[in-house]
Order: sequence, then structure tokens, then C-alpha cells
Amino acid sequence: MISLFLDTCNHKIIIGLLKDNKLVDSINFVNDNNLSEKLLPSIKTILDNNCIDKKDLDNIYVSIGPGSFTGIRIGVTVAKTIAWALKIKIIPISSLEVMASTSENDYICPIIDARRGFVYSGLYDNKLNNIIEDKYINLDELFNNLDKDNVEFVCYDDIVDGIEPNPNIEKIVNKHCDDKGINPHSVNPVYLKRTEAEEKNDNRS
Amino acid sequence: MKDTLILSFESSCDETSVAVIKNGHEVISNIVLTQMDTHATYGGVVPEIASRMHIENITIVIDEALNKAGITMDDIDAIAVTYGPGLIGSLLIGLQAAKTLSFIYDKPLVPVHHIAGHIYANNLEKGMEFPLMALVVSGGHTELVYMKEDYDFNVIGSTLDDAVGEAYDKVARVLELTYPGGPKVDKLAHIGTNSYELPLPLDDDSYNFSFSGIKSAVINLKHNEEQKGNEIIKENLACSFQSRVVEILTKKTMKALDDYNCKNLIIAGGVSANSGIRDEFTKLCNEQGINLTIPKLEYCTDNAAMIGAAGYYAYKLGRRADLDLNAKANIELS
Repeated sequence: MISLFLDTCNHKIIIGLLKDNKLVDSINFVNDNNLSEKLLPSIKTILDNNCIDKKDLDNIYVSIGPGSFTGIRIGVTVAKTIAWALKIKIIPISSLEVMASTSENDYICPIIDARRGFVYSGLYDNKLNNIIEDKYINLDELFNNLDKDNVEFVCYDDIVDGIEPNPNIEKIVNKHCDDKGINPHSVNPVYLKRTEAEEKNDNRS
Repeated sequence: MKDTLILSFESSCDETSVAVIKNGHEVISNIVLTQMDTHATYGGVVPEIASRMHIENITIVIDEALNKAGITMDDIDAIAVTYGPGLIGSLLIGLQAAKTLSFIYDKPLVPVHHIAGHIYANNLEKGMEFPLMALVVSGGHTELVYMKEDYDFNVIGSTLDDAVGEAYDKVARVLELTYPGGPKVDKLAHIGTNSYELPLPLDDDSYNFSFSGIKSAVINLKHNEEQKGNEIIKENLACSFQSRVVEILTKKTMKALDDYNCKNLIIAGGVSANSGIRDEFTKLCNEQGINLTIPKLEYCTDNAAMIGAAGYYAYKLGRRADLDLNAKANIELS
């Protein structure tokens, strides 16, 4: 069984290729505003390097946010289009859960900077069970709700004292391989934040 | 000869559209999902909302376009996609989906300029005769393009500031008309008279246009009249504005036709739905023996059928893009 894993929600772009849920290859690169150019060529490269035809893909795991709006959309568009075209199983995964897979600590708190004092964050245990749901939250408020001494923070930015994300793709895939697939049409980004226009409009009414 | 089927994508603004086009002129299917009602709430297109809606709908629209055409991806010869100009976040959705299908099915990928699409919308009506002059008028563009032959674009004039459709929308706001206000200004203009004096915008020897001056003149005029305690007669102001816009568009376009000794004119882009523009050009072209084509309204506004029409000629000319094709917010027509 051949699986593709994609996470394009943060600066570090991760593409993983798995055979029977074992990671056989991965490509990482920093999104230098060139994700749109590099994503599909990189997917082609990882398949070619492992002599796998794209039509042999059996399923696709895609990180659907939160994170960079544009980054999420590029990855999710590619993933849902592949899944639709090949009629294969697609499994959406939280980008925060992907980050949480870095640590084996009992409790892990992945954090993505959302600017202006806000972050995207949630709480996971070391089996990747979601303990506190992902949300867009003020950093101070997040800290007030956590037992900081027993939590390991995982963060790409240096807004908190934590470890650099280095996701364990196999762990994520093994947790989700029995998930029911979702209709590719319904796989969409989870931004956790509405657009400014929508927020302003709501404040007015 | 074997038929050529192009699967085409357009997502440069607030329409998610996918089409199947046969031989560059026959529309087999053309699915257009417009977000206009959503953006109307905000008085204009909100780019982030547009991007969010594109991704929710893109695979559904592809599915529908193929189903309606009664074909599968195996029947497709090439994939054409708008790669610019437009809203970058919107463009990216159609682009990534098109590139993904090109990759999965090993189909040639053909990059299409949005304006080339608007021009080739005319090919869906009747064959284009060269040399021709194309006047492209829309919310984002005002351009005069001279073409000696297929896919040979020479932009001889363009707007120096606002696009004509943009000016219409801004004047609509002054007249307190709801978004999208352009068509409402056109409607009002028909029941009004040309009673307000407005400047003729950029009345020079070039083929360039400028619409920010006349827009400001409309704003100032309303302000001054209100200061004097006079109420603006909306239909008359709409009529005066439209008369000046039509006057400069026709003046420069007819001059360009004459200068280039060109007998074929096509009008393209969303604003070509404007009846003031249609009527005056129809009259002048009749008088001067110019062969005028204006596409049907459904092909004037953004749609993938026009991208498939342009894409067919680009494909025949061997234009190709690789999987690293990127979307461009601004890019010259070539």
C-alpha cells in the first residue's frame, strides 16, 4: 500500500512517501514563497526516485491547517485533486497534530504564530489524542489554561520556549490509517480564523 | 482531422470555472460558479474570501464540467489554465488543480493569459478575422490590442489608472447603487439625459485611457451640487458619465482601426455587456464598414470556455508549461 503525506501549512514543507505505513522517503524544504512552483515537481521527484507510478498511490494524508492560508490552500488543492482524480482515500489531519508528533512527552502543545499576540494551538498526548481542541487563541490566555511544567511546546517560531518541529510521519499515519476516508470534495482547509472582512462585518451588525 | 479537446480552468477573480472546449470554438461544457452574491455583502471582491470559496468548489466544478461533457480525462488532449493576471490567491487554486491533473494524467499544460481568454471568447461566436483590433473592457482591464494573426498580441494602448469597469463601480457608489453597480449605472443612464458637464478623459493622440479623472469629476460635481443645496439627478449624472466614457472609448478605438487600416473589431471583457458601449460601437461600425463582434454575455464575464478557446491556439502553437508554472498577479499579454 502506497501513501503520500503532505504538510504545507508552515514554513517547513514536508512530503512523505510510505509503503505499508513505513516511511520510505521524504522531502523537506523551506517555503521561500515558492511553494506553488515547487510542490508538484517535488511530489513527482519523490515518486520517480522510488520508482512509483502516481497511479499506484493508494491513499493520501494531508495537513489541512491551521497555518499559512496560502500554504494550506496549495497543499489541500493538490491533495484533493489527486484524491478526486485517482479515486483514492484522502485523510485530513490537523497541522498542529503533525507538529505534536515531534515529541514523546506525555502532553504536547504545538503552537503556530498567528500574529498580534495570537496563536493557533491545541493540546495532544503522546498517542496524538487531542486533549484540548485546536483554536485561535491569545497567547497569554493559552498559558493561563495550561500546566506549563508538564507540557512540551513545539513551535517553528521562537514565540515560546519549545522544541523545533520534526514531525514523525509514521506515527501520524499509523494513528490515522484506519480512519474512514472523506469525499475529496469535502476536504477543505481549517483556518480557525475568519477573514478580517467577515469579522468587521459581524462587528457592524 | 481528429478533434482536439481542451479542459480549461479560470479562477482569476471571483468565478470558479472549468470548461471543455472542442477545436477552440465549440463549447462542450462550461461550468461557472460565481461568488458575486457573497462579495456583494462587502461592496466588492474580498480576495481572501474569494480564495476560500475557490478551494471549496474546485473539484466539484471539474467533476461537473467533465460529467456535463460526457467525457473522461482520457479524452482530453491538453489542459489550459489562466496563470495571470488576477488575484494571486484565487489564481493559485485553478493553477494547482490544473497542474495536478496535468501531472496525474500526463496531459500537456498550456498557460493562458486572462486577457487572451477574453479576446478569444469571440471565437466561440464566429471565427476571428485578421488583422483585428480588440477592445478589452472589464473591472480590471482597459486595453486596445492589435492582432495580425492568431495569438499575435500587440497591446497598443491601456489604462494609465483605473479600468473602465472600476470607474463604473466607483461612480455607482457615488450614486448610492449597490455592488456590482456598473450595470445599474448603465440602466440609469438610459432614462437620463446628458445634462452634467464632465471632462472627456485623456483626450490625446495616444491609444491610452485614464478614468480616474472623470471619476473624481463625478465625486466633485455631486459634492458641489450638494453644497449648493441642489439634489443630484442620478439618472442624468449616470447618463453624462456614460456618454463621456463611450465617447472616449469609441474615439480612440475608431482612430486605432483607421490608423492600422483594420476592418475587424472585437469587444471583450465584462464591460462589453454595457448597452451604451454596444449601441454606439454597433452604430459607428455599421457606418464605417467595420466588422464588429461582441461575445454573448455569458462569455464576456469571466469563464473557462474563453480560456479553452485561447488555450487551443496556444496548444497548437506549441506553448507549454511545466509543473513549476506559477500564478502571476501582473503579467504582460504575449
